[in-house]
Amino acid sequence: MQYDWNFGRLLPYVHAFAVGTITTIGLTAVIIIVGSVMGIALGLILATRTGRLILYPIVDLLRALPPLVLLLFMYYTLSEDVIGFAVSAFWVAAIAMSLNLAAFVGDLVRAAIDNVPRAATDAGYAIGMTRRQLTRHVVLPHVVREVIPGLTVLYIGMLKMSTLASVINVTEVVYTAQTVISEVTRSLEVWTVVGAIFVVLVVPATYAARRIERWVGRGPAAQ
Amino acid sequence: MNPEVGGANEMIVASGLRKTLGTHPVLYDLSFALRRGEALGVIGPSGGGKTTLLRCLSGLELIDDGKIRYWDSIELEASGNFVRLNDLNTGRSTSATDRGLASLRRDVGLVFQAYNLWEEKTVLENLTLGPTVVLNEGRQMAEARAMVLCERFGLTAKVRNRAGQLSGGQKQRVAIARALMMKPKVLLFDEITSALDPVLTFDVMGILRDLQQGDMSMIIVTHHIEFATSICDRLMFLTDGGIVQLDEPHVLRRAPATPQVQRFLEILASAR
Repeated sequence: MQYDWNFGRLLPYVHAFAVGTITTIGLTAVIIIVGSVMGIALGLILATRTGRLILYPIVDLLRALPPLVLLLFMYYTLSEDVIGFAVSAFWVAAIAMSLNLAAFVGDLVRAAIDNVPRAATDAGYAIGMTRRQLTRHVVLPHVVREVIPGLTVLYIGMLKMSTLASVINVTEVVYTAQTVISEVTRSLEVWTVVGAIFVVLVVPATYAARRIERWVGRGPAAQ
Repeated sequence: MNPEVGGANEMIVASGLRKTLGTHPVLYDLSFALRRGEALGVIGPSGGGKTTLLRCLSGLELIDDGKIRYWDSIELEASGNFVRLNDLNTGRSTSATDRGLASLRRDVGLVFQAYNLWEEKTVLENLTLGPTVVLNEGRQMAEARAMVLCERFGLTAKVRNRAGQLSGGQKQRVAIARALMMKPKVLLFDEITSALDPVLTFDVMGILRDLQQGDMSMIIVTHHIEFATSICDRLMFLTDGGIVQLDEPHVLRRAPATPQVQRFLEILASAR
């Protein structure tokens, strides 16, 4: 291979990459916060029989749609032509991917609630807990423990999936990379930098996720 | 005498209890009383309604018909689809809400056959969660009481262990301690020695004997006939949701009311 690597050509774009990285992190953070809040609320509703009947078709639809299709659909829906005012590309991406994340988080939370052992709830009722006390002190800790591993996988996946926002011109890392390539024509170097940025972001996040999983799984008890 | 219990001679009076699970009648017109300080044993074949009876008495399951009076103060009354809680002191009657039933369950301790501990919580958390959340007791006070019970039940070295890490015998002792932490007026035990080996069974029996000597009113569902005979003041033979015989242990063993009771007692005796 006789490729002549030249990262020096990218030096003028360090700031652009930094801004792109910050946008990627910001977009992911918004998606995680909004998607999780919506997902937890959805999960609580899905845990009821009526909620399941009403909302599962919507959840299934959201889960069936490829994220890119959902993103483009939202991009053209949240436009001046349709709703009368324009939503910025960043927020279109945030809303579309939050909906996608919420569908998965909702199902995760619903499954965790369904999996609370009957023995644990019976024990709570037997010592005189009300339904609310039981939810707060028995069901919730169980649900948190159950959903954390699944959530960390979804969150890290969302960090990578945020690159889809580049197709609707959100100036995140991939969009920045494409702009830089159009100016310096050093594709391999640019994608190497993008890859390195994601490794730097994802690997520590993965380690942190594993630590959280271990901490939640083990709890404070003596071993 | 517990002032809250007043001078009631009966801690539980059940009249005409009926309970159907699905289409299967589990309790059928069942009436009996648990006297103050009495240990009442319940024996009978599996599927005879013993566990359902305890769950109904503890308020975990609602009866379909009948009345349960608790220490002259509260009455759970079911008729058709309506279940009401009657306050016998004030004459007030309300429908059996989540809050009302919770307040009743607080005073009727139930120890489960399968322990039903919160496996991910520590022994100390299992013991203190009820008092702090339900009784609004301070954490320090609850922990101090828990430590006294742990000492009494030989669990001091395990207080910081998660319940899931304990052996069967230890779990059962934690389950009994958890029920006692709520200062119940009545304790119900559901086959608590069925999963334990003879040594651990002996251990748990010792605890129940202590409780009996402390004047605790108890209903003990068991297949351990020797134990039931030695600790219980009366024995109830329950089958197909109905009481076949309710007598003092020596009477029941000497003069079984039906061939079915006699056969059952013989099987239990030969199994030991």
